[in-house]
Amino acid sequence: MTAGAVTGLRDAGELARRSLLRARRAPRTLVLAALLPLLLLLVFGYVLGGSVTVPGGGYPTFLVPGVLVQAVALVAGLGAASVAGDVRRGMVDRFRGLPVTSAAVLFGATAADLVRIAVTVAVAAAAGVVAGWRVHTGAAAAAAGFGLLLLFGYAVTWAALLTGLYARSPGAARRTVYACLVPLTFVSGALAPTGTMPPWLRPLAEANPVTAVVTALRTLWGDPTAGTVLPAYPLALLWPLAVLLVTIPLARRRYRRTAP
Amino acid sequence: MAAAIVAEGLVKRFGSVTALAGLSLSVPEGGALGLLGPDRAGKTTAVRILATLLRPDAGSCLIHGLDVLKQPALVRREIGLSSRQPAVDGFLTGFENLELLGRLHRLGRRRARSRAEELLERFHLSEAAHRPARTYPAGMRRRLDLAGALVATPSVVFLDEPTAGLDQRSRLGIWDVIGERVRDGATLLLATRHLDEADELADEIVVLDRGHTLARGTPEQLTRHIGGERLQVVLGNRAETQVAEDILNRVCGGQAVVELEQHLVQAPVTSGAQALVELVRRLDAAGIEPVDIGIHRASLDDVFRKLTGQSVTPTLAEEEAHR
Repeated sequence: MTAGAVTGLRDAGELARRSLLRARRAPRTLVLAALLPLLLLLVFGYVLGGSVTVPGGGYPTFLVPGVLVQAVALVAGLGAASVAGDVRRGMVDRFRGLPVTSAAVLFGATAADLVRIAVTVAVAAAAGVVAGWRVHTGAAAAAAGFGLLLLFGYAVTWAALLTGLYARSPGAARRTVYACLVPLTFVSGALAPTGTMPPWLRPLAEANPVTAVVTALRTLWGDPTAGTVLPAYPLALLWPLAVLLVTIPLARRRYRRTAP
Repeated sequence: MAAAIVAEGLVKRFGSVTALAGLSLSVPEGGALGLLGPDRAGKTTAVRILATLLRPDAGSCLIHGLDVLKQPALVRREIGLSSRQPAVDGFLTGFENLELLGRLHRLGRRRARSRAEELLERFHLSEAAHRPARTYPAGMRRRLDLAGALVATPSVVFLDEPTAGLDQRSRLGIWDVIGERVRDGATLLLATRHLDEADELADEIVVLDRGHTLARGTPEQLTRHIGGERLQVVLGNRAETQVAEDILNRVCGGQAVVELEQHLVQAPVTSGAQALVELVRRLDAAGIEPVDIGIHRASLDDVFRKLTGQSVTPTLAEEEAHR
């Protein structure tokens, strides 16, 4: 590795540490990250669970991967407001005036967001196990599934970061991100089989990247209800990678803005 | 002396608005230049260009001979910037804020810590060092921000309205800190809307308005040009006004100017407070009771009235009057 990459990594580490320190001082978002999957499981599993019939493995088997994906997406969206706050409070200008690269600042911030996402995943999985959900296909498949979840969350984080860099205020950033994430996660196969949806909605839900990720997870973890699986694997990987490929350079350009 | 900051013909437009219309300036090593002007004069734009944060549409600038546009990474090692709004992470303590900046400046862990402690001490923040910065009052946040700009001991310091939003007492505190601790041999470029601030901190002033340079000179030249401190008295009627003119002429050694309609007499003074006491004593002896009396300090608005024949935006003029 070149010397530049080493110092870049060290800088990113410093900035990740800063974000984590902030999270510890203002634990609101961390608490939200832990509570959200519990709330979703409660609402969809127990309140609505009785009225949803799924073929095969039962609702927990079907629902837990869906709640995991939805919770990861919603928690990843939290990053938008914090970066918008940094822009507004002049922290981004302060960092830009330092001999630190844009990559170090942005990768540092997103690394800290990834920690928050991991908390969500851990809480959701633990709660799922309590509710009777199991991975039927072994440790490697379980790990691959969690890896896919983190990749998906990381992609949403970068999209949220980009939104935050463009937003006029933290509130505007939050509204924009959730105006996208809420329909994206609900109009998908995350919470109900797409087959039960009206014909006009079904193609939308089936084309949704969230559906691809959820379907891939169900297949990986051995849920017989997963349905048409073959295209789900490549799509579940391609979507997040494509998002990262687009948002990372755009975010770096926006961060540098019109600076030399 | 070699120039620490050189700018040549800086132009910057935002859409149809020309923020800078060809600004040129030069600050010698160890010098202090004040960019004086109202809102939208182009001060912040100039500072941001020089501090590598914004690319100009035309022109060039050098910091210690380094091209700001071509070698921004090297320039960033030389400069410290304190923006109009303090860039302080409210959830981090004062110590952590400075330590983070030190480590991002690659001082190394130990040096970053000792530098943070040193700066907290110098900026009278030691007692609050381990409290989150969001609990700091405005003046303390500003001092922490200034300290943050100095972590890597920059040789050129940019300050953009360092006392924006502070009360008079905190302003004096910040001036004190800038004079003693920020300068410290460094070259200073100060953007401000307050004549008294530029007068206090800069040894050369460039007056900007809507991107154009209106005037430049030492604070002495500028205040001489617009007439520095004035003693001003408003009387009840014409007769008293004429008597007061005589008295003021005696107190201030001539130069009294009368505005008969407004029953106002004023004259430039050098030691205002002494002259004021003397004036009050003599008016009293003459049995005249003034409607209003006081020392009037030249403000940015006076500079503008003198230079352009126009007042700056009324809001600013009012604000100045309230100080």
